[in-house]
Amino acid sequence: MGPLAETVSPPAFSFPDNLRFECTRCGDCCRGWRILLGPGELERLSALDWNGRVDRLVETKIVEGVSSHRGSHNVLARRPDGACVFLGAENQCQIHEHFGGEAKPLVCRLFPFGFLPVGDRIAVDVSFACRSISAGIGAPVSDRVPEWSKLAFDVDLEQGQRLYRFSKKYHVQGGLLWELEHEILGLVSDSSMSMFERVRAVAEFMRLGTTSDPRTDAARTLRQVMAKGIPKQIRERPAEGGMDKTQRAIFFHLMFLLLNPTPPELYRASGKARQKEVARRVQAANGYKFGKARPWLENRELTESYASVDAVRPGYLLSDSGDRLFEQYLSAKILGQRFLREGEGELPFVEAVPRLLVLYPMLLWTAKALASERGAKDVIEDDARGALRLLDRSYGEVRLSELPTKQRKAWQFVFMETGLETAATIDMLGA
Amino acid sequence: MRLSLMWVGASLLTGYIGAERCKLCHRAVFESWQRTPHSSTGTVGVEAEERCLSCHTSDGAALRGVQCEACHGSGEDYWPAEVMIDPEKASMAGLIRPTEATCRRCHGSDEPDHAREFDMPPEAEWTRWVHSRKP
Repeated sequence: MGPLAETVSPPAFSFPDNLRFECTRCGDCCRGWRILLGPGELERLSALDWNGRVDRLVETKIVEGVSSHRGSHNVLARRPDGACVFLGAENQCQIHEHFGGEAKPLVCRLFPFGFLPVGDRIAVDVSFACRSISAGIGAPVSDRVPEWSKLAFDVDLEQGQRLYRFSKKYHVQGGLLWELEHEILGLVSDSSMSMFERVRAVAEFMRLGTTSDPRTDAARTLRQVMAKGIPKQIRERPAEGGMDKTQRAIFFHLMFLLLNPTPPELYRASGKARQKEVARRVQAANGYKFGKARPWLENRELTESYASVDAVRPGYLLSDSGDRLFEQYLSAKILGQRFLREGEGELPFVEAVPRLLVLYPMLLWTAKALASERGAKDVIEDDARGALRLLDRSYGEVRLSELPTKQRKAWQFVFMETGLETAATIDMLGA
Repeated sequence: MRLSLMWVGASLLTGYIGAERCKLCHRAVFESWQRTPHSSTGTVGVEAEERCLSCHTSDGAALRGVQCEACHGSGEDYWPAEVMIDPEKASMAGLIRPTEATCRRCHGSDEPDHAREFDMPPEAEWTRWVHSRKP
């Protein structure tokens, strides 16, 4: 079976095949996330009567208002430790326990999946931040389709007809976005190339195949020719060089933000304590420059240095199975369009894909860091799966728009103009 | 095995499109090529052994003579204008920029029946033997 699966009856769901899921009640998805409420959900949750059920929830504020450039939204309130107010002592959801699963917000009922109407079908986003998905345990994801069909009634399918940002200049219909995504998926799943070659092929495709108005016949011909020609040519042309100083700074800066998302305690800390913690984090993010500095993973400092992480060999990630694992991950991100989102905003397609491709060298580094922490010299499958979980946790939440202007311009330039994905991969494979 | 050399216009199965298609845009180059011996290498003798075809045809089978694609690669992918207009795109679609090594694939052969006149001409004369270049 190919990398994609589609249901037959409408609405059609598209999702990456060969993934597995079964909730392990780890509670990860109830901690640290901002859960956006859909239309009518605020009223529904406010009407729940907690008297005689969970006393602490009777007087607790259950919803918070947040504002973004797209307007104001309601999100589920969080406890001081960042967990959802409804999370019980043994990782069970109090709403689910007392009122049934149907009473939960749609986002919670769906996780680790998300629905995105595109054209006349629903793309399913799969989050590798879920331990079950990243570990590949449980029943095939395709078993969820009957459940999704019921949940699809709560989704606004009209959204699929909206226009998507292709670049600063052009917008495209969902159908064309679908076509573009499948052209990229074709390259990502081309097993005649190694994963590094596939990453290079997609990068070249984006650079050469998306230069004009994507809606024209000429642009479609160009894309078809590039999708066919690039894989043939890329194998013949070895890539040279690695990252320069600026690329390295951007790469590690982004990786630090993905691997160590700011904990809620930091927002609440005040004055000197906050400044001190922020300075410590900035130093950690820049630590790759210094031989004795130690990287951070999941907000903790490793005992290993950057140099010892570099020395670990990619092992499993260079095997066919390693390629397939990352192919599944990339396919999930493409179909779920996680790469098109930046916080609550939307990235243009031509900017989003290069940022998506950088996840490959990031996977290589993170898996090496996990192996190094175990004291191993080679990456094994568990390291790779663990690395994908860490990477996916905050991907899409790192907003360029929130960076200082100078830094934002540097990031954008490096992503769009310098081939960071290729340069970084060469460095990460170099050990 | 002996094969007949036949002019079929284009060899559809192998991705070659034939010089007539290239001529639509590259007329001056086409006409100058027609005046060179390369355009007629496939007309000498109606039958040839298979080993001859790699140099006396463009696609190893049907396209007569040393046409454009014999040196520039099969044009099935790079011929559309939106591809050809950009050298990098054309290159990724398979357009080859020939070097001396390209010429030597045939001109360096030690085929016993061939006299020395098939040896490579001096570099200064290459344009005259292949085709003119854009000014």
